[in-house]
Amino acid sequence: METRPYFVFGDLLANVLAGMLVALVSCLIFGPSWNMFIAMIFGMAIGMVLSMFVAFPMAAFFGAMEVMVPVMTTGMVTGMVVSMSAAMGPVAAGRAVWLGVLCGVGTLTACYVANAFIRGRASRWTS
Amino acid sequence: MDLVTKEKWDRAAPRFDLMAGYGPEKRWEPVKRKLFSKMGEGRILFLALGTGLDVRFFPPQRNITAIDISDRMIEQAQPRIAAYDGTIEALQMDVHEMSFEDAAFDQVFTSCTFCSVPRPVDGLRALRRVLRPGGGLHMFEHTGSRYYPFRLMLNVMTPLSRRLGPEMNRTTVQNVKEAGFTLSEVTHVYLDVVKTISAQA
Repeated sequence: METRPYFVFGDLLANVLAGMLVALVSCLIFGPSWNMFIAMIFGMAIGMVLSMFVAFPMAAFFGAMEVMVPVMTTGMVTGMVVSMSAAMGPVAAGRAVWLGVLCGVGTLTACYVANAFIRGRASRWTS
Repeated sequence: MDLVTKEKWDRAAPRFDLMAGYGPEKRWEPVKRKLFSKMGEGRILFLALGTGLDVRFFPPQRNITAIDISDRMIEQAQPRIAAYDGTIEALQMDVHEMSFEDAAFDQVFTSCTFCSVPRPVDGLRALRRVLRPGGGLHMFEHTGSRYYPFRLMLNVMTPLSRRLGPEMNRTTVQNVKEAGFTLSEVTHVYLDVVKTISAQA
């Protein structure tokens, strides 16, 4: 697990920024007129693409795959959550941003846990 | 020589350090230093020198032959080669068409290389040819993942990243085995995506 403060901060910053960006755009695009399933699919796709605009510049400062993979996952999760929420009823920009921050922190935490789990399993495969 | 690949990396050379020179190198430094500490006293081939970002992680006083398909990359690497406390001979060469004799090297090292070699299994077979029997292949590579959603992310990124440089969803461990190497160790650095691979010819 990454413990160096510079990289932990960078991971957090990148995922929060990606979550906020995707959430804001998603709440502008999606609304109650959308079918929830269609909104979810489009939201995930838009989230993944948009998050690349955060992932690439942040990767230059904080690491390549360790930034890009969680940030794109955050984009996908945030796009899904905000688009589905917006399809159920109007979502204000402020609430969407908070959802984006929560999705970013949650996804990053899940990626840290997945990293510890997968590396643990991998050591058993190859030992 | 594969001119399409050469031109892609020639174009990338002037801006390569902007993207890869700070964050990724700083993050991977401990792992790379550990991997390159395996460099012995014998003949060493380093594949895909790039702009020479990895040179500062090499142990001193080694005799290294480094190749890269892009002469622009080798030009960028010159100051780092000059600063190395040892010998590095940098040559422009395509891994698929290496002019070295069979069994010319005791060890081969790669660093984020086989995400970009167009025919990876053929490239690895070519490395096996120039390694002495029993010689060590030591790689620092990023690959695809077997796990959702990471696998999906890397598959989505690949069509874009391929235009600029590397592919994100390679099956390098499998390719090493297919090329006839005997795998000795795979150490996962980040998820099952960034890893070091050691194998014997």
